[in-house]
Amino acid sequence: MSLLSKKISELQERTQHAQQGGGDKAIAKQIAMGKLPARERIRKLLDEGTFYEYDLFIQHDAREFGMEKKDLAGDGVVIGTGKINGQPVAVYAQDFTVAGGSLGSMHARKITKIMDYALRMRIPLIGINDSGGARIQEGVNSLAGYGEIFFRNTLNSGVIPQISVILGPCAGGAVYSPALTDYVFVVDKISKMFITGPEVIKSVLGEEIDMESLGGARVHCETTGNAHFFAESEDECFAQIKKLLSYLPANNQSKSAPAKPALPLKKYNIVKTVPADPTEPYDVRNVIRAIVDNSDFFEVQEMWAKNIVIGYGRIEGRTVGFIANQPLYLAGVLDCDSSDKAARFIRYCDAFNIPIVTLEDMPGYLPGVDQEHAGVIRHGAKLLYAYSEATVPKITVILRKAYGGGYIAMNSRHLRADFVFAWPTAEIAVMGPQGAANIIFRKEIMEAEDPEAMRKKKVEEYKEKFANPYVAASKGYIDSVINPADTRQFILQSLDISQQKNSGMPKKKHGLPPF
Amino acid sequence: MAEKENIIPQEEELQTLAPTNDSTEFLIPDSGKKKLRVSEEGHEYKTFLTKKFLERKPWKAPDPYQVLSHIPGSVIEIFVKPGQKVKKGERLMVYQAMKMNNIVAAPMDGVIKEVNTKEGESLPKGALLVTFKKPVKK
Repeated sequence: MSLLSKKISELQERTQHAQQGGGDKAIAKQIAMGKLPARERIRKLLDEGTFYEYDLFIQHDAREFGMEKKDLAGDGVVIGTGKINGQPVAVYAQDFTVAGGSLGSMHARKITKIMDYALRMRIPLIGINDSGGARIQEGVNSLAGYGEIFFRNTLNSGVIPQISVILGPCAGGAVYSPALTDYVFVVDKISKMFITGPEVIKSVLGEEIDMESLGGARVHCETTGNAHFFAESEDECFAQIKKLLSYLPANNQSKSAPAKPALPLKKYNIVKTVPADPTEPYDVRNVIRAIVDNSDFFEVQEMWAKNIVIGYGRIEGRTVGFIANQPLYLAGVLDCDSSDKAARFIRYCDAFNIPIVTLEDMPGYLPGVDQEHAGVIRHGAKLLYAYSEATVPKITVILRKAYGGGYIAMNSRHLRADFVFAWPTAEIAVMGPQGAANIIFRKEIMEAEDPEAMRKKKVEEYKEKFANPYVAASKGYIDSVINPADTRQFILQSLDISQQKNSGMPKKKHGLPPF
Repeated sequence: MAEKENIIPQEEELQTLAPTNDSTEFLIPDSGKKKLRVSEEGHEYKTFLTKKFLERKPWKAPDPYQVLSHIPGSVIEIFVKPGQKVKKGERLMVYQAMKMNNIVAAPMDGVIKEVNTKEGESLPKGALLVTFKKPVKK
């Protein structure tokens, strides 16, 4: 054997050894839990044959508690680059089969290396989390590692898309990396996220709860709003990630790659979807489907704060972010959670040059002591802030109800919407006819012989006069009252016109949204 | 020093949430007491309690066989009776709230055990509307 082939065969041996992770037994255990090994996950996520791994031979540097004798393959994390939909991405995946995927200082150094790389190359970063948490033997070095990751998450935020995939436990401080990133993907029965687990909660407060009810995938999608995408299996999750990335640009200096233009499907009829009677509910997602190419609407946070719908679609091949009140849930009201959800999405679209289309049909903010005390003022303000601050093209279509503060908040002309359209069914007014008539005609109603009849008459009068789009149109607050059937056409035309839009905010270090 | 004494409450005023000796019993503070001692792994921290903490409700597992109102509103029309079989997604009632005639749909296939409200009733958020029969385990 020549010296060179000896050296090459040594490399192969070392590579093989390092790539076996925690060994056959640990891998079998991982699979028994319904989870894939780290490299298998990456292989499934990326385009075939595109993955290149770095730092395979990294050794941990713990010298206490007998750790110096332990050989931890790759120190429990796999990093590298590859392609998704033909576009370059940087990726890391924690390997639960090696010391439970615990995070020590070298493990963290590998993650921060690929994060720095992603930022420098201006490509999306995908992190697969599957870790028991801090490596206790490494003490404060482990905490330092987390801190370095969080700092980079913040640095990268709004420059490159950052995606977190929770495919196992992600507990304690570790949860803050996903929380700082743009999109969190979870898988039923596999993902677990919490700050303190069921045992600590029991010992400190005496409350009993199981892990799934505390921080399972469903809880984070339905209740906390921490996660954005729910999947039944890892394969479904990877398909969702690929789809999401197809809508996003590689960084904040570029635009989303256009797709082949297509018409919406015939079965989504915009005119038939929305009942003219404002008290009848409908699914606003079918309105979006009647507008976007192939009727393909990719919803974000589908299960949380369902009274507002957010997500991506394409119009003539170009990515558009949609925000729409959902009359099907809670009558489409704005409240703490829906304001939060929409505000964050608006800022995301703005950061990555994605035009925003707002479909409005809402009766206003949800009244109630619990809402007021939960801080609906503070949360509601986020929505106003996000719309006002956004400089991407902003288009609003008012379908039916646009009342009170909600009218202003939902990307009104006053917050610098570029185009505002209204359907003839739109009702744009300071408040609903009932409430308004009771205030304006209080005296007449009280003094009438039959107050109830007078109230009804005055409500009708108010409806007739104000529950329409023409008062707002007469002031120029809306640009056109349009035939619902022409909605896609009007949005498309507005997007065309605003391609070169250039409107900046005054120079400042950063604004102060009500976080 | 005087200031310090003010921040650290006297022992007898404190309550403890630490596990007792057999580590299965826990002492939960009375709503009247405003201070407690938290213990985790033998460490004790003396602290004041916030009003929000004292008034919190312990977590209760939701009952999937109960249909609750999600918003304050009033019942306009009820379509189901006790004993009736329904399919998931079927209309149970029209529930008016925020100027909208919302449809309350069946969350599962099943049999109605009880209708817990009546037409015309005004309800707060979280009110019990309909109870489903729990299937008998075979």
